[in-house]
Amino acid sequence: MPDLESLLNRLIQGSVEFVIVGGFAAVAHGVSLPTQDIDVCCRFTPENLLKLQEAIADLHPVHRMVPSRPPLQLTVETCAGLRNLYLDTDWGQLDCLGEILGLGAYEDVAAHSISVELSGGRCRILTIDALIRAKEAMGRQRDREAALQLRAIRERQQG
Amino acid sequence: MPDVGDAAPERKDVESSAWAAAEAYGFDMSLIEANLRRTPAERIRMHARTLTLALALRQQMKTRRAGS
Repeated sequence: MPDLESLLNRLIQGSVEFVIVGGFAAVAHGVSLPTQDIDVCCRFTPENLLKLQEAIADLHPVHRMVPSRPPLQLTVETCAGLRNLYLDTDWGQLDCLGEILGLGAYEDVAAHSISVELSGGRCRILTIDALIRAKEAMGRQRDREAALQLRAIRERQQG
Repeated sequence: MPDVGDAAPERKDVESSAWAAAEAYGFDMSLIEANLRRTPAERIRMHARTLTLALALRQQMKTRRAGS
């Protein structure tokens, strides 16, 4: 059974450098649309990716986009060529992205993030403005719907 | 007491707002109102509980269909 909150807490407690993006960030901002995975934008350095791997090692992470679903077995060498990681774990799906459409690479995404206190500790989450931009850049129906709600939330917060 | 003429521009403002646009699309805005009364951590916790329940129900239905 998915436990996305605990999965996220693993990343926080493992000191992984990441920003929560996508549907999970939308939920944290107040959107009512459900999501079944966690999307994070990570710093794609070997050091950070190896921290990520260690943080979720006992959750049997596998590459879910590869038909044979091979286990996650990163090394400093294999980290070098990676841009994204699409993982499945015992606690749910985790997408680690090197860049976000409409925003850019990790440094750009981090510059448009805020720190929030979650049950596992503090972590960074995309600002509502940046999330709207990213959702609109994706352009899928569900992203447009999330952007519609996010605009309403922003308006309410601005009072 | 405003007459109809006074009320019209105010109504137009409300209808052009992002909140009204989301409501007109069909979203239940009371759910969003409730979310906004919570902290981000509470929103995530509530979402996790809802998702767990929905997936458990889906699994029950799958099992039920397989058994019939």
